[in-house]
Amino acid sequence: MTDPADLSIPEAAAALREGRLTSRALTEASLDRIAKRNDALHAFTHVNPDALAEADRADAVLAQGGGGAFCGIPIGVKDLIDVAGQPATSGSAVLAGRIADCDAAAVARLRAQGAVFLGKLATYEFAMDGPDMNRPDPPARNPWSPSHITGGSSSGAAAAVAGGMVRLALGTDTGGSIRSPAAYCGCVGLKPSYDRVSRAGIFPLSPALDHVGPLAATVEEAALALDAMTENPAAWRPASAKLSHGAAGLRIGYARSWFAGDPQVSPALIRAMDDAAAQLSMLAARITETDLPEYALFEAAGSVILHGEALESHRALMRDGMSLYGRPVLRSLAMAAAIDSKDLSRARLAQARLTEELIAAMAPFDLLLTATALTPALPFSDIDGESPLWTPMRTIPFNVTGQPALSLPIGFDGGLPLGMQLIGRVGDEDLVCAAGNAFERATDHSVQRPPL
Amino acid sequence: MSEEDFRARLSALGIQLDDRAFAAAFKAAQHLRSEGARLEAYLAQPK
Repeated sequence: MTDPADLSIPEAAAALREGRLTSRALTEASLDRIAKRNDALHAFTHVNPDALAEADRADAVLAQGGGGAFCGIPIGVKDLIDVAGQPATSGSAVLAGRIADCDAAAVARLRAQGAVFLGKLATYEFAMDGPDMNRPDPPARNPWSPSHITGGSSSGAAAAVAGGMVRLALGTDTGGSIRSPAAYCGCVGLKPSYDRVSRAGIFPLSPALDHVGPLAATVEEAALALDAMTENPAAWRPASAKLSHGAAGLRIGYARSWFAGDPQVSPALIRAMDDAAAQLSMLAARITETDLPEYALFEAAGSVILHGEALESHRALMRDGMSLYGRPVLRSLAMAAAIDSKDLSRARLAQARLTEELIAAMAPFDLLLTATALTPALPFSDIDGESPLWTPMRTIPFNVTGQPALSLPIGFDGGLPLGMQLIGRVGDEDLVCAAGNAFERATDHSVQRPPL
Repeated sequence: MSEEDFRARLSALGIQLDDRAFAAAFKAAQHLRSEGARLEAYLAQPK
């Protein structure tokens, strides 16, 4: 018999509604996984002592035929996102002891559907820089190789999903913080369109670039979760609406030049991307290589906006808590002292112009395809504690433009997962997820599990 | 931006770094300045 923790969310939801499974049993299965694996992976920083009571309440609702799509489903939440009554420290000693008064908007939407909140997941401190080996909470570790990073900043979310503790976790993404850990850990990460999910109740890193979204075991589960979290559902087409439509006929621009010529790129990543493009072509998508505006400009605009806004977000906390910040975050905030309001204004102008240019370049296509990260996850031994962690990625352009971007597994390099991105126009999550779901079902990348 | 300018800016923010952290932050700050210059050059081009 399948361990309940391995059931997909639609499978578990059906079993719950038909009385073949209880939320208590499902939640216990997840808690059992956490008990067995968290010491090695450090994905959860807090396990909710009331999780089983929440599950019992969901079971009572289900017994009366009520509850939403996520009724009784256990979920983990990045510790940058408030969950009422649970610790909310953003992974920092600066906010040690803080307990959230109320749910973040995205959490409240899932709670209204009956979701069970298992606990809080590790994040890089304030979602900045990289893993800090000097914090009291050790950084999350990659389920495929605990000597490698998960990527971040939604580090615990990716470790928890890939490590089989939960099928769904909530993360945030300002420059790739959902998609890069999803790629490094071999799960699915969906950064929605800007403003599709409310940022209320999330500690801000850069309000112009911040997004909230799901990390999940499959595209279908990510799409269903996004639909449940969407702030104003009437204004958006459901991400799950076209899951059964496949990829046939979709025009996909393959932005190969954005990564294939980069001296840092892994040859295995190029091969896996070309194989993925060929697979989409076999699914009757129309793949055409295309050149997009210069990648470095998006990274420049994103970096200046991110650092400038991060410094503003932290000014008040820095006045009283400076000594409590970790070195990587303090160094990152210090960097921002190099830029001024004119730099930030210019970066915002560049953001608007680059968005226009990317949308124009996308005109012949329904979707874009490119790499998520250019290499597999780095080993912890590459972190010296002083230099900023540099992992080459192709994620920040879609924080700059606000377009939806889905990362999903495409294979391995030296036993570590690799990921690709499918990108749509704002509001086209349904097309992104249709192509991603078709690819996932035609391949076996997403069903691979780490040897835990 | 000189090292002295950067020290003054950090001081105004109340950020104190030891020598190693300052060296890493200054290097990263120079990179961020160069990103700003890249954007200035981009915006100076005609659309």
